[in-house]
Amino acid sequence: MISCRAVVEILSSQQELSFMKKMELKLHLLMCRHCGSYFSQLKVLNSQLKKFFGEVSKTDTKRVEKIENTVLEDLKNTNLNTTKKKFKKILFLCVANSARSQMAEGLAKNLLSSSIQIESAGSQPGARVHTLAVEVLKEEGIDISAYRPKSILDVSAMYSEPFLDENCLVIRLCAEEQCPLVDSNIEVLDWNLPDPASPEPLDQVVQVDRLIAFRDIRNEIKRRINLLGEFF
Amino acid sequence: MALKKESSTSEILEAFRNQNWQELEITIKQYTEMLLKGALSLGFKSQQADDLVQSVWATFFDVIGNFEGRSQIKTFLYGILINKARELRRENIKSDAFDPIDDVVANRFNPHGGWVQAPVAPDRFYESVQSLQIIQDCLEHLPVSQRAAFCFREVEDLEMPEICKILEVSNTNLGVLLFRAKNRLRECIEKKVGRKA
Repeated sequence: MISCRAVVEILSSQQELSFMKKMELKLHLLMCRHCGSYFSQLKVLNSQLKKFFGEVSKTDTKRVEKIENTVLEDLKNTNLNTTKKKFKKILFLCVANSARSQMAEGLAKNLLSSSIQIESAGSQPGARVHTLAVEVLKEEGIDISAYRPKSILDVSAMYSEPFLDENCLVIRLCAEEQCPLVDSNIEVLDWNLPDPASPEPLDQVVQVDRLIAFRDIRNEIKRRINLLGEFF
Repeated sequence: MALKKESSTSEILEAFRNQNWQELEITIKQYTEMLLKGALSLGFKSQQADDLVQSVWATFFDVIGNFEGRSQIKTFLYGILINKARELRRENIKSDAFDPIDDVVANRFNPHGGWVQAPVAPDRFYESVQSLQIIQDCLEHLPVSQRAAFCFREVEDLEMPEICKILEVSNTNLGVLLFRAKNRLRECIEKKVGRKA
């Protein structure tokens, strides 16, 4: 027999149910007056909110047309404006180059055009890429297990020329720690994201929270990368 | 020309590169009303809603190059709208980890999962929920993601996988958002039941 609390959770979160669970739920609703009330409340709530949203989202043609015209005008103007700086490279920076900047590198290589050179580095490169960074990117279908923490010099060595130049956009992900400094002629974006790996976890429970922290940071990085279009 | 087809992101990108304004105008006309309704449903009012829609389009054309063929335009535009709304309301992603409503719901049950404090009778609840003002007041406290989850699911009737894509959450997390949205609203309306009398 399912509990009232479980019924409430099922009803409000719209989980997919097995046939058996559905039957149990129906039976419970038939017998339990309180859960029956809860169910009727949700139904009334849904229909009233539908009404409410229908009411607030009423628009008129003139208003919509005005927006449409402004958007089209703006579009014509921005397209003619070609002075916006375009970058060919991105360097993601954090301290250890083991979690945030590595996730950013993996995500950016996956989300942005392959014509952009994308790397990551840290001021004090750690020993290896954090296992949870590898894991949460794997959830996105991206494999960064072969990535290694590097310094800016290491990256330049890979290209046999300085990676940091005016064609490179630097994105710093450090929040509270000291972020690597770069020359003033280099364009820098500071994303200030907290380190999901800090401090090191002590037990199993913290480990689960840790995974959530990594996912949160991954999603935030992904969101920001998707908004980078104007730079390229 | 007025065929209601869902153009792909690559078609729009091509039109954008070729400065094919006619084609772009069709696209803009196809989705602006939808976006405005979305902005209004998220609680943005008058000029603020109009500006929000404009900035969604601006971002759309800024980033479309990165999205070639990857996403349906509707999903893509709604996604930008949600992100902008979160920014405007200064909500960060962390706010999803804990929500006081979870405790409020938990406290209505005993350790065995039975009701301690039963829901008010449907007819009294019904009376309270008739007031659009009460609904509006209660909606004020809903974070963007919860409000959007509710709207997309119950009002727009979108499929769960599409809502997940728009809100960038897993299916489980969407369930949590709906749970919180509905219980928040329900608790809030229930609290106001006695007050009118």
